[in-house]
Amino acid sequence: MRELTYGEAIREALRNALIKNPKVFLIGEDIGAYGGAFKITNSFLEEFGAERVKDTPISEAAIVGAAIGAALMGLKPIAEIMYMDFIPICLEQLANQAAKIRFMSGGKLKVPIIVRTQYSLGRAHGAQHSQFIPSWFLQVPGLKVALPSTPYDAKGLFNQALKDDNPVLYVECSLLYRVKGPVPEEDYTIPFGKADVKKEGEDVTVVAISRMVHEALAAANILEEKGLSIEVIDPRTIQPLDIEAIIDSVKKTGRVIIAEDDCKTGGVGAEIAALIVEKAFDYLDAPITRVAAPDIPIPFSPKLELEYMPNKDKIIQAVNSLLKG
Amino acid sequence: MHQVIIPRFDPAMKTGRIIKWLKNEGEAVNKGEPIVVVEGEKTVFEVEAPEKGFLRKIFYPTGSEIEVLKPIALIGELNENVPQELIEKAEVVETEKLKEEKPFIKHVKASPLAKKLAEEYGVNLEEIEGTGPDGRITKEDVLNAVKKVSLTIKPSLTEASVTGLKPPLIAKIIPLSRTRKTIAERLLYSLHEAASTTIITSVNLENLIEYREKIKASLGEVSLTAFIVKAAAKALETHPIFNSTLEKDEIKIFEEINIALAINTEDGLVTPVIKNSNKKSIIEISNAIKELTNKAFQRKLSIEDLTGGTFTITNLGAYDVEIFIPIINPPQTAILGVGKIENKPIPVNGDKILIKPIAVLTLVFDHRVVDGVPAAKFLQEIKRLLENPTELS
Repeated sequence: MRELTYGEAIREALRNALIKNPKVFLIGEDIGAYGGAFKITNSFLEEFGAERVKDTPISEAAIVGAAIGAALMGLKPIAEIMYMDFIPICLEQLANQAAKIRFMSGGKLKVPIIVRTQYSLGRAHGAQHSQFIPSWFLQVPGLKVALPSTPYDAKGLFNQALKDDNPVLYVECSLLYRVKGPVPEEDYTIPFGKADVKKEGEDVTVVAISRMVHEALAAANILEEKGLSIEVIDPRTIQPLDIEAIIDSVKKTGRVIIAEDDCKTGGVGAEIAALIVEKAFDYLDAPITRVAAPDIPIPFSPKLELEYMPNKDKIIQAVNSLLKG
Repeated sequence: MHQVIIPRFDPAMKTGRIIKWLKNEGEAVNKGEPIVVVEGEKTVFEVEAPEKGFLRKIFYPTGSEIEVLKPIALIGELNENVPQELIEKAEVVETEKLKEEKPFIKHVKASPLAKKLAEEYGVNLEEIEGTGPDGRITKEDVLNAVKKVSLTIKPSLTEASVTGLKPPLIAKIIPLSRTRKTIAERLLYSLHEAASTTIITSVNLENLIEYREKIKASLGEVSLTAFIVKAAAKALETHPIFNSTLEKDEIKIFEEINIALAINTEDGLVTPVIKNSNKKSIIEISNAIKELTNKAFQRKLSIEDLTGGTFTITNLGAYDVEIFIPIINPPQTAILGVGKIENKPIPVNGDKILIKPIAVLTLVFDHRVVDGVPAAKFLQEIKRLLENPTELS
């Protein structure tokens, strides 16, 4: 199969959507003339015109608000929030309106928007441009949250989001834009709420979110040489979350590490850990361990940021302490 | 002066342990007011003041274990002198009986999985050394403890008995293996707890034997046991009460029908489980039996293989046994015993006698859960299915 980068896979999915569905349009900052802050929408303005690729002023509230209005009128908007850190500005529109309108209207109104965003941890973008805050949206019933980790998943999850009649937050990771992987040419979908076992193993389960999938796989390769077999599970969407797949894996290995780029306190890992204890307590052979970022603002200094970031070494350490103490 | 004694709460109770004094010496107490918490053999209870007054003297501290009916405290008026004789008597008992204070509950550091397995295998966690972080007992530690099972035969004891009364000589001592111990404990528990009731019927296996030959010709080897498993599983679908367990005052009916099959190995009896037996084909069941039997003989049965059984079948037909009465495999509600198939004369139409291959089926069930008539209907259904084997496919 041909290989694309993560960025190219997203770009292809977006372009196909614009070609195939006249109701789809893009809206966001710098997505037109500039081609997107990460060049995902490069040349889209020339190809599809300003009606369908809408540059906006710097107002996230306006971007998501306009997208919700358009969706209510029957269009399929794809809004881009340049950095995940900026979502709080449009949290009212996203969490209080988009996520609730369908419920509050008794199903008569639908808000089929996709909000694309990315997190830039590891690029020395500073404390307000690097955050990974997916857990904030776990408390917003009505909102789906997809976190692709591979080019294949990026295209498949995006295509699924296109079909969804509800708001979907689609979180990319800018450190992954250049990661390559196989991507089929046809438009396939990956169902939401279906985790993917990225690697099978027997001794420890690592539930890894977004970028951490790659760190977990790297850790698994190193540990494999020492005779340990690590299972890496990527939930792919955290809302809905495929807890059954995680439980099945925990039943097999008895030990679980949750690896995530967000802060440990109240992170996605906290929710997953609670569910595991609720549903699989008797299968645990060790405490659930979280490998996450510390509870501090993200340092600007590249060296300090590297220290801050969870990585394969921290996963290996966690595996070792689970097994040997 | 009134004595407070350790009451005997049930006939088997010999001692009680003081968990906590609820009153201090000198405090006022009302008649019937709890003054001390005592742990008996089976339960923890409060001992009440026999009279109104003041707690004048406590004889034993927390943690002491005291024989039933012994005095543990005195109640009287504040100005009343404590008679010397009562104190002296108590103190003699005290020096004899006072034991070193033991922790009430011993905390064993073990993972939830290790605890679950230990319970299933009847392993005492206190006897295991944990190899996990900070000495935590892990799954592996429990499984290793189970694996250590071996029928070690120790050399015979030297001829003892200097006395005139000679006890029988002992040739050798075989310590109970873990498996044996588990079997012993569980079966005794079953006999002790379940209200075991037995019903017996005969089944004509003529059709089944013919049918099996047909299947063999087209699909290959199939064991007769597979048909019995399937028949029981199907009968359980319509008689789910036998696919249950009794917990306190609730009967819990299992959703899955997982037939455990008793298999005799060198280490003792094991009962691996054929999960969802009712949903499997005869061939699938037959293959599962083959696989589990092989695993059992190679001691390779996993925990998964051994847990989750909801009903047990045991077959001693191969050992020339005609009829036997098995013991319910706890915590299940019923067990089916199958004897050997024998050609026997049976009366037909009241005046003719035919010779047919007959086997005796024994259903032992827990009468606490279900009564005899439903049990008879359930057994009849198994019989009907075995006599009409085409319904089993």
